[in-house]
Amino acid sequence: MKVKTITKERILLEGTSALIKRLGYANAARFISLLGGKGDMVLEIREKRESESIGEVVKRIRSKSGS
Amino acid sequence: MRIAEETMAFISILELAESREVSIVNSDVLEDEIEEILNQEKRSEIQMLMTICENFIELSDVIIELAKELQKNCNLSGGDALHLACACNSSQFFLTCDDFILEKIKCIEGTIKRKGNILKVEKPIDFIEEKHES
Repeated sequence: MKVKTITKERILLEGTSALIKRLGYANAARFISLLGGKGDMVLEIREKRESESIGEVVKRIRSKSGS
Repeated sequence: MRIAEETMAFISILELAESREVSIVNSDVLEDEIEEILNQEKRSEIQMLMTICENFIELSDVIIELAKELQKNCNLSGGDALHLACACNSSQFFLTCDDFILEKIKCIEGTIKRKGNILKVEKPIDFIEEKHES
């Protein structure tokens, strides 16, 4: 029997997309906030930003785009 | 408490974007930052919510040069400077909850003004309050 698998990342993207289609962007965000979450994204992003130079960010972006 | 208020402001901005009263701008720099979020659940949610953006700013040499100037003048991190430089040519407002950027508003807005552009940097909650008052 063939079992069709879907990655965790794919199901999270599809699930959020379905939520947005059903509720709209603002209400989807409202729903996600009601589910709660751990941590402070602003602090997490701040730590990452502090550790990188302009050159490092630019290099990573350009390597992704292939330019 | 603060995170709850910021979340409500973010939701209000999404409502304004849905009713086309504001337009949210995405960029190479923002997409890169989102891709670097380690928590898969948070990353996926943000990636999908960002599909509301109608405009996209690609990284360019002009943006990199402005970012370097902002970093030098205002002592910003590389990422902060790149985000602000991306917003400079495309947006009227740069909304952030990040105190490290908010405490340098005067320097940032001044540097951008000297380049011939106007960008207002503020907290999402202040933007929403001003929008409701107008």
